[in-house]
Amino acid sequence: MIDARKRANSWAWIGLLMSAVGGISYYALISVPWIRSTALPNTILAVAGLLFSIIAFARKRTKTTILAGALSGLLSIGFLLSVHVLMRLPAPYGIVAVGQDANDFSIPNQYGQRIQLSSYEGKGPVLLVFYRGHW
Amino acid sequence: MPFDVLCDVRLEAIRAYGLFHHEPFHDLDVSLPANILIDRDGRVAWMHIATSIQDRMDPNEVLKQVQRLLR
Repeated sequence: MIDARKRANSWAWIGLLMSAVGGISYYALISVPWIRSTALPNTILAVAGLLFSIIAFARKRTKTTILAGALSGLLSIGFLLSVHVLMRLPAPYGIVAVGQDANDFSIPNQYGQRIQLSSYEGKGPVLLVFYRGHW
Repeated sequence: MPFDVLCDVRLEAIRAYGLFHHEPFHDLDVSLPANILIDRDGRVAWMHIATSIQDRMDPNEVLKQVQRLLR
């Protein structure tokens, strides 16, 4: 009985640690491009932490498995929701595709000069960078 | 500056490339973050459109794609 309680409590603490590390490490390592874009190791940790917490709670209902489990659940689900649900963007309108002619436009630059995209044709490749900002 | 910073106030280019996004949290019209590479013949050679707010291409990856077209 005592062994089972201790084991369940250990799992609860491990679960909480994994959830916390999974979530916090994402923001700590956000400057690494592949981590920022995929959040893969962090997601794996958060899911593992959640599982450990659930298993610990299912095995034995102690103060530790309940409290640590609740906190672990909050942290891991909160993190997973924010990165994989709340931060998701809608799909683009599928107007442009590789191989198709690029749509032309004429827009002023930082000096007020009108820049026509098609004026670059024949001169060299053009990289359009659309960044997230608002007017 | 070696490149042009365009002000797409009327969302002309943004709509032309299907990147219009009404951001509900701030109630603002923005663009989906994207990199679109156009070759000398005016055709789309490569593109990456972000699937989430934090999804951004590694600049080195973008440069690799650009180098391909400069060869």
